[in-house]
Amino acid sequence: MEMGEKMNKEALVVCSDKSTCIGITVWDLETGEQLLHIPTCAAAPHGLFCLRNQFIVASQSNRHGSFGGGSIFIWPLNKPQSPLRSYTLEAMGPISCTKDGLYIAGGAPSGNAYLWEVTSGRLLRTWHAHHKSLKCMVFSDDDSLLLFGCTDGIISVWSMISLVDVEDSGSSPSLLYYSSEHRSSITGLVTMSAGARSIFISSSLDGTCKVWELVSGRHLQTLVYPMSVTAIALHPLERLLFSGSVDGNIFVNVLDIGAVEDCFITTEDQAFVLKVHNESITALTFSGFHLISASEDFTFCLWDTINRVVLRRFNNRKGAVTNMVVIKQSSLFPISNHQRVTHQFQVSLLQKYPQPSNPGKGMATFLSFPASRSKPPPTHFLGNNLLDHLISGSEQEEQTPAMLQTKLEKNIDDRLWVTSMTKHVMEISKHLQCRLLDMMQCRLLCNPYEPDSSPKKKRHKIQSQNQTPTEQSQ
Amino acid sequence: MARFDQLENMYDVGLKPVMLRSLIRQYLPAENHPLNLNNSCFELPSLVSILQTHCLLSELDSQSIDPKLINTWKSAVDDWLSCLLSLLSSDMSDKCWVGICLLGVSCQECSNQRFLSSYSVWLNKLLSHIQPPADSQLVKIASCTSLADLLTRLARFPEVKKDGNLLAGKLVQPVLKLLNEDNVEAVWEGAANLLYALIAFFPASIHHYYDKVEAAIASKILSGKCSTKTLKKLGYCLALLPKAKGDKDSWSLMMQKILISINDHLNEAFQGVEEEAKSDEARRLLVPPGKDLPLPLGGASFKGTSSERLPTATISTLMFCCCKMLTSSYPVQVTVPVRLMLALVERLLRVDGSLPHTMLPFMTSVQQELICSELPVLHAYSLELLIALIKGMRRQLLPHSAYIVRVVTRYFKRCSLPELRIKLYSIIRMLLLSMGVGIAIYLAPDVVENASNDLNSLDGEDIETSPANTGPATGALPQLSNRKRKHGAKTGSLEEKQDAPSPKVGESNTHQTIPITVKIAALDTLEVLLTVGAASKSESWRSSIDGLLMKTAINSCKRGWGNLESNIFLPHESASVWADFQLSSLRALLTSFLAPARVRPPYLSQGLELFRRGKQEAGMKLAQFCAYALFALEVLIHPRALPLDDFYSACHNSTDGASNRFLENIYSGSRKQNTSFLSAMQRTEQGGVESHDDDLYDRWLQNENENQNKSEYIPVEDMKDQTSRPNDSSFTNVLEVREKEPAAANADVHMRNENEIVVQPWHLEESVPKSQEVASAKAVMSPAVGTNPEGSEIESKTPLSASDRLNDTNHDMFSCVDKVDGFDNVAGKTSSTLPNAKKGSSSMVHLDSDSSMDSFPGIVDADPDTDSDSD
Repeated sequence: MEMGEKMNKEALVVCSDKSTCIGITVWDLETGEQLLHIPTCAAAPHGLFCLRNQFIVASQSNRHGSFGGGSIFIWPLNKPQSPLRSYTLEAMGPISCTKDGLYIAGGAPSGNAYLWEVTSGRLLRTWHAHHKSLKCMVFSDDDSLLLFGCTDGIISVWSMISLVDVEDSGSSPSLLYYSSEHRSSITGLVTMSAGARSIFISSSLDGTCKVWELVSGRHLQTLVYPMSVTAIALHPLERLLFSGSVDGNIFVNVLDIGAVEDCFITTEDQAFVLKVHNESITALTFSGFHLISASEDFTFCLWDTINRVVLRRFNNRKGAVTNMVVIKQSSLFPISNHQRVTHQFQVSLLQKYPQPSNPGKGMATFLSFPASRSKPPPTHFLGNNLLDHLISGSEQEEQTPAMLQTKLEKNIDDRLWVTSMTKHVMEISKHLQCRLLDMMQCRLLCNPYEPDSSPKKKRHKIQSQNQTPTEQSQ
Repeated sequence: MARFDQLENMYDVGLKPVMLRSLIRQYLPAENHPLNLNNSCFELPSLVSILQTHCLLSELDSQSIDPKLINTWKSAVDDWLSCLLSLLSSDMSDKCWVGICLLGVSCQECSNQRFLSSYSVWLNKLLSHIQPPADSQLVKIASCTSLADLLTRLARFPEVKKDGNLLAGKLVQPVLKLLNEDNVEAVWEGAANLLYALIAFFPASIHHYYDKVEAAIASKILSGKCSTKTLKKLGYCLALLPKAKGDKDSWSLMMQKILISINDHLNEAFQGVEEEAKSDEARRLLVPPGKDLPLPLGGASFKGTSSERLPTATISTLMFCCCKMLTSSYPVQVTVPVRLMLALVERLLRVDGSLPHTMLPFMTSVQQELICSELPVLHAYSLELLIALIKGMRRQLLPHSAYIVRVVTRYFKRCSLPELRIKLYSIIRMLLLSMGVGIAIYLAPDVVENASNDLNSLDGEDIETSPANTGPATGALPQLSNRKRKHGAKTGSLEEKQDAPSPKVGESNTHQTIPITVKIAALDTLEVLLTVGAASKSESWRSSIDGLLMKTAINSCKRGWGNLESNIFLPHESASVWADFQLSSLRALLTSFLAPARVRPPYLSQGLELFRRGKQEAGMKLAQFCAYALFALEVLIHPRALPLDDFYSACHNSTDGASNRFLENIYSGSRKQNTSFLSAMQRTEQGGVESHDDDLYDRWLQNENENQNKSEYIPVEDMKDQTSRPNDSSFTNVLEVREKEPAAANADVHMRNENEIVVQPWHLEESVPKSQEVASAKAVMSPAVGTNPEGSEIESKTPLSASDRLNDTNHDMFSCVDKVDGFDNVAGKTSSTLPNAKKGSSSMVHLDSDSSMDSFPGIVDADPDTDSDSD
């Protein structure tokens, strides 16, 4: 009974970047209890995400036995004791994955970016994306574009298709555009799924949030705040923007992206403020329709955004929370047999160095997931086809597609030939009989010759029918 | 007759046993009576349809539980079955055939209990008819089909799986015997049916005979001597065969064998039309060095192909097999040789029948003719293979999508056969939908070009449209062609843009007419492109496509509405194709209205008229769509500013004084709306583009209510505008703009600020070149060359090559001085809140300086990075 309820409930994964001893904690948002604790993890801001609802992936800001490089750990949520430890060339800052969980991107303080294929672990591409440290990265809603935000305020948008191009002919530029409208470090990027008009919002320490058209890079709106913005989150209905500032206030704005012209919105008079934290907001996220805010004052809060009250306040005690991810509680349970998902992509160790691609080598995949594995797909009986052919053949005489029909006809033809031969013989004998009878009549009655003698013929026919078994082919 | 009056109606269960018995009497020949085949072959279908409609064999009784009735029915079914079995054991092949067919039907129709109790008996009975003493082909085929039905039904009972596998195992060898030793194609087809059922439902039964099955099927396919239908069935069986083992390696091995076989056949077929190197290369890819060549398909090598015929049938069957392997499910993860298959597709699509120079002396015209005649089939199958790859790999294909885009766009330029073009369009639709806006950027130019060409050309029935006129100059909607020209004038700083359509139309008129099915595919593709990629850099093509879609929709509807009812005298396609065309054109039109744009859809009023008419007049499907279109457009015409639910409740519930703030919110919100409304108003007035707004009346009312003083004259202005819509005023307006436009393009920024409101939208749409973003990216990067030499290599290379590619624009450099100006402006904006008007214009400065760039050297001392850092 409890299991079923827990299936749909959400849990919050938090971690800090300061020291590894704080580790990852999974909280039950309703009861406030700790569900799971994974020690030894300290992820950089934007360095934690949940992969395919099954894995927690974190870039480690403190190195683990690796020499000079960094590492990315992947914990299966239902078996957190045995993480996959992948070591990278550089320490990783922000990391992100596509919605389908097929690719992971990571950014280093040097401005280098890395792109891995999760299933094979192959390092598909590494390139120098920015000159300054990468602060955050996010994939567009359809996973076809990759956005980077940098400490120098530059936002860049890259095309995934040319980034991962195996041929890499260089004919198409991976970089779609750069923008340097922000004058200070980018602190957050969120993409909206607003249909065909894809839009993203960036927040920056310069005290503004900017609304952009994703593909063209056109700047649509600027929201001006009195403080540096340190984190942003979108309401699930994408109408409200929550921006956390450096003084602990959270501003709430109504987004109106329908406006065509570029406009500035000063938020002081339009936004209302959620105020509970004393120090800089470090992360914002949503669980259902509840906002969760984390701050450097070591606390994080669950908000009712409608009534603007804090529902629950958590204290992390050991350190400030820098990363929050909302997961399904069900993914924490060990997989029971009846719900085992066999069609699940494997997750491999992420490679440290790019491998030359081997053209002969294929790509591991699952072919067409059956919707439900227990029930066989509806099948059709072949016999119906056969009969359909027969039926269509008999309805439309000129269309006889079935070879059966031709077979039959051949068979029938043979028989028809036999019957027609018999009939022919019968006809002749009938004719002779008629003649004979006519002659007898003429002689007996001495009547003049009548040409119309059909009634008699018919009578004779009827008589003769008894002897011929098949007489239908007229 | 006596019983008849006891029955209630046709649903009476009591009727069923009676009907069954009379069917037995009427149709099933008695023991020693000869069968009247002449009747039965026509009566059999009707017999079966009676059985099926009335569920005579189901023995299911939902209404009454009269045990007597149940018994009657049961005994009737018993009789029916015993009658069938006696027919089955008859030594007359025709009687036997009827019995087998009807037993197959009984397998589908009878109750579960009966089936489970007697399937093994039936199976053995049927089995005896495909084994050696049986000689009639007809009986063999019918037995195969009925056995397949029996297995299909059996597979639905998981509890008898084991027994089923055992029984199915008995069938394998007889089936193989049929395939190997019989020499009638129809029997092979029947055997393929049975084999399919065996592999699909009882794969374990095949396991022991895996190699034999493979050999039997392969020999038939490689001989290429059957009809396409039979070959396809066999190919499907071969594709499913690895399921019998169900492991990763057997799938890969089968795929490799098939690919090698295809490759070998192609090498032979393409001798002379392809460079030798190509075939060597393909071979090298297929068999990696150091690895052993797998056994050829089917175990031994077959040399069945005669030289005077191309092995097209074999190649296409094998490719079909590949497609099926990719698209049917498989229990474990497999490794798909994506690169090899893409290479195969590309190789096939590359061969167009032309002779490479080195081969000229070795080819005869007969050989070339032979290849050219078979190539369309091969091309069609390679496109199918591409489709299957996209379907099978889904988003995992991403690393290869750039390659696919290159292949597809290259082929698009050359492909002119209707069927192939339709397939190509469907591939593009799939790519767009699965890869999203990222791929739309690459595909859009080609899609727009090709679809415009296809849609602009005349189809065979389009007699009325004269080729001299690009627009629909049929008098129905003259303003449209005006409009179109206006667009050209307004948007096109290039003169040839205006003239471009006419020669094209004339050209296509002389060359060929585009079939309507191709046009439908083009429309559907444009629709998807607008859905997915309208937000991408669509400025260059958007207005022309909007105009084209409007024109197409009007053309499609001007000759009345198509009838979706299929005409019994015509083949199915020709009856509904016109209605499909209308539906597609209206759908694409709706999408063009709804797709995000920076101006109001210019043809909205004509479109609305079409939809309204269609809703009233057309048949079911079209009317339904038109109603939907009007419904969807409502939000565009009358935008809803709904209050936010949670905010609203907050207003009433909150206790902490937030309500005050909320009221303030509402107030400021409405004020803002008001101003934007007014500015929109002004734009409408002066631009004259959207002179015929459809919510005019609403606005009037709104104005009256809210701004009493202003409503005095604004609506009048608008009314005037609207009444003179088709010709004069808007046209002169546009002319005005047109005159201003070139001046503005050359003039400096101040000049432009004067008529900013007029020019702005078009400026944004047209004169921002496609490569602008790339160029700007480069400009941002190029200063960095100095500052960070070690890392900049990659980046400076990519933008350069980008600008090379787009060599039609000479905007690859731009004034960074202006850019820096722009930054200063932005800096000013962010720090202090400027009044609204000024902000708008300053952003214009920024944009214009991007677009009207002269060639400036790329090296500037102002680095944006340092610029922002210094703050």
